[in-house]
Amino acid sequence: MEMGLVLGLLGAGLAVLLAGTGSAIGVGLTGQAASGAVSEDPDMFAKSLILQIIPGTQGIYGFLIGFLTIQRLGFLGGGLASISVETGLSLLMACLPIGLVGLTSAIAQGKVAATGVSLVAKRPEELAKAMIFAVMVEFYAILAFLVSFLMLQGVTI
Amino acid sequence: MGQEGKYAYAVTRIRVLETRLLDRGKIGRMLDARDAASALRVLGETEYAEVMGELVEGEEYEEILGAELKRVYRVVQSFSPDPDLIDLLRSRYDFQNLKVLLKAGHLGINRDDLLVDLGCIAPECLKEMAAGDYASLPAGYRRVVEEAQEEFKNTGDPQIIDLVIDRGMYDYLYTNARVDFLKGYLLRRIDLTNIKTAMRLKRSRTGVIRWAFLPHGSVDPRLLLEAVREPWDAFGPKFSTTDYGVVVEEGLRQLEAKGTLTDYECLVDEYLLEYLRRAKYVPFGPEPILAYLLAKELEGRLVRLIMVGKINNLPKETIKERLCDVYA
Repeated sequence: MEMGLVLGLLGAGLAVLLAGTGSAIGVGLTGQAASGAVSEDPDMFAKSLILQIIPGTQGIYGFLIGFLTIQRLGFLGGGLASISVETGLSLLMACLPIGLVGLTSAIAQGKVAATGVSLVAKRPEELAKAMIFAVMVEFYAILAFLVSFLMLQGVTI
Repeated sequence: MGQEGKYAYAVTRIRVLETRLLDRGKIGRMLDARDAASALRVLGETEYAEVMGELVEGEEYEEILGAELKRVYRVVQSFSPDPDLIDLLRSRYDFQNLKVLLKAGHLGINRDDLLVDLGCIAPECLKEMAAGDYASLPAGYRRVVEEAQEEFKNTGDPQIIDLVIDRGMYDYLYTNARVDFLKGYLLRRIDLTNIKTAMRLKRSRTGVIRWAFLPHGSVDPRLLLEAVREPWDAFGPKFSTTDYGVVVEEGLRQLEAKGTLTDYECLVDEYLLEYLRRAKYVPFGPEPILAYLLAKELEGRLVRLIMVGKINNLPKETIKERLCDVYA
């Protein structure tokens, strides 16, 4: 296999791996907090679940970028593309924003969402505010996703 | 991921439990109750219902409070990420039981009714250890007990047992507290207790005894001794540069007006409560767990004051004066 192709695959792998790890940690942490709340008050389940989902989006963004990269490399049919080292490196670079920002923002968002569960445990009527705090972190994940997407589109193969 | 992963579950669970603490409304309704039985009925609408069961007579409040605290400690210990910390809090009840056993032993009477089943060591085990002259007691406790026995032998005064055990207990708690929040709480409690002791010594004009002040305080013992020796006018200003200036000043004013330290004790509770409330801003850590348990104990004291007042038919205002605020 050509070196360019390997670099492209590395990029796709990192996008999925890093963002996915971040989301797993974030969702896991919020899940723990949610268990704490539900063990005392089963009615907390639905509200906690909404908060638990929020740190999961980074993993989806990473998956999308990874998927698009694999498609551009030609792994999904139509024969493998012939890719130079420079192009491969460009694809790798395009994958980094969502990979790294996905990792850090999902962990940070998980902490906010977990404390959000605490907030809702104390004041069940304040779910919207707890969600807003968590969604604020989402903004940066979206920016990173957009840049990754634009960079990916900009690389000509 | 250390702190977050360790405490996410516990802290959230504590936040739910906190919502079940008695709020000002419930305390107010207990105060408004006609008699002890109706005050207890208000309590029966809260989480206390779980332990109340057959206990509905006003006089049975003590059993209810004991059972509730036991239940809460059992629940919190079941999910706390650091069981050592809960054990440390519970050790206070061991020391309390040791005091009872030591004094009863020296007076040759049986006061097993005063033993509480909240410590790390069950009262029955503690009694067995007492029968064996405390030889099988854990080293940390034994040292304190031996010191108390020694001092009692020298003076023959059973009160010295209380003083030595209190000293030993705070020393034990402070040296074993690995959580800064707990250390801070103990420090404040030690200081404010020492100031109270100084007030009491000054009022009773008895000689200053070596055991009077608790160790590890941030207020210099020399300052406390000076305050005891010098006139009342100089007492308040001595502490104006410490954190306790306001509490001491207000306490002295009430002491002068009413002649009791009850108001000062109330102010101390409020001050410590304000410290505990800091835990509300800690998202992941042992602080909320500690604060919840201590708030629950304080709640028990409030309920006790109300019930004693109701049983003795005291007017609402008189009871209310002695109550401090709630954590919530």
